[in-house]
Amino acid sequence: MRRLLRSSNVLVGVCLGFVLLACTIPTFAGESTLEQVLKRGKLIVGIGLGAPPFGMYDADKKPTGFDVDLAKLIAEELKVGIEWVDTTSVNRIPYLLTNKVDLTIATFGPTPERAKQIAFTKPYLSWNLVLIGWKKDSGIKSYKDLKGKTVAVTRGTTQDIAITRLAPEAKIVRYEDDPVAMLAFEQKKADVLATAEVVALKKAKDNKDAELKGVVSRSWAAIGVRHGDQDWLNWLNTFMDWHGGQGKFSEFFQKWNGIEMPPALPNW
Amino acid sequence: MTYKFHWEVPLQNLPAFLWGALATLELSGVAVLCGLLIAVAAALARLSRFRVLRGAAATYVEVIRNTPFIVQLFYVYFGLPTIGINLGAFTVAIVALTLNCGAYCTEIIRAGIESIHRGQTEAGLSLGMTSWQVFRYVILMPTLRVVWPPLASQFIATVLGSSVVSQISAEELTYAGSLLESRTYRTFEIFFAITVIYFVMSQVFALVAHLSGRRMFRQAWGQL
Repeated sequence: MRRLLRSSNVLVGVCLGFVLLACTIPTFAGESTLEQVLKRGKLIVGIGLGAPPFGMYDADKKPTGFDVDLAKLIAEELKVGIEWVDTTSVNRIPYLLTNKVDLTIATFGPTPERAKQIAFTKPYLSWNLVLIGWKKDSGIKSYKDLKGKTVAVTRGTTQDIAITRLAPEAKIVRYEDDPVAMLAFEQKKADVLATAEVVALKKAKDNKDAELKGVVSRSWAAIGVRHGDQDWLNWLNTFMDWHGGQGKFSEFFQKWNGIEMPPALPNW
Repeated sequence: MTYKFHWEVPLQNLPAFLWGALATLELSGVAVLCGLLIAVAAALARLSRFRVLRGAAATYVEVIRNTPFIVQLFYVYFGLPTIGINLGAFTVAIVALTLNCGAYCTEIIRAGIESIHRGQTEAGLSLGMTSWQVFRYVILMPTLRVVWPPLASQFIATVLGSSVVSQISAEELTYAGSLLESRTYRTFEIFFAITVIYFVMSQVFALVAHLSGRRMFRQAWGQL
């Protein structure tokens, strides 16, 4: 019993420590991030470098990809340098909320649920979520044929959310990142894989037994910033309209994906 | 202005967390029990007269103890289908965790057995005990009694280590947490909730190990 009491004391201590620590997390320093970046002369970008072709390392270990090009364009407009902070799907929000980065470009899918926590700019990217399966499974033609089938997705992505909603009778297996989900599909851990069109097209070209099983939905990606910094958000949205309107993002898409960007928003 | 916590996010999703915690307990409970059986067998094999058995057990222990758990997990999950064995994620998680826990426990138990003086075995035999009785009452139970505390901390390491299996889509506590995290982006609140649940589960595991050890070895003392 004494042992139990002692451990519950420790637990209370741990909880208190955690809460105290968390209470000191600052969210907004008062001065707009825009001003800070200009004064500092450097933009600190949270970026996801584990999601080719959007973010990855090149042969010289330098960040490259669609998201990287976008960040470089922002820095060019602000006439500042860039510091890269590689983030993962779990730490990208804490990085943003604890002021460690000025913005995060990591193919963030803006959803109303997520927007309660961070603010999103206008989208800069739209892409089709498709299914890829095996030619021998001729019964599967679209996401409507997934009853009782196993679908591999990357956990917690907008793909995951879309499949969960559209194919409620499918068995969904969720993996940590895109390469693992792809491996699971190849090793027959799942009947189909839900992924980005460009990834599926490449796979279907490399593997003659695989084929596309139709488009599931359209997804968007936007830049994530902290709540409460309207000046910064406004500047970024102006930047989005300016370059999006001139077809800059479609150009990036073509460059990195080799296919045309699916039409998404009326002002594009 | 400081961060505003939204504790309702983990609270509203409490059933998902509890379900995940149960899955973690099931996973690590089975792994610990089966791992213990494997460990006793492998420890005996390591001390066996037969070179083949010694070699096999040593290989098993060294391979597992000198590679990361996540690599072992990926081998069992993605490697076995290549030779025609395609198991579900949860089954793979149990198998990999059992093998991992078994290897670490083997070394603990082997050390325990080696600490028992040879003379005790001879004394048992000369008292007319059968070799099974000598094994059980003179070697196994006294060994387990001595090594039970390090075994218990290995059990806790297994509970905590089980958080890795979410990588292969096995559904347990960490999986439940990161799924919810990616939907709501409430990272701090969710990981805080997970921390507390893991802490409580480890303590419960330690308590169960402590009580069951006391019960088992009181009998062992009586026999000695």
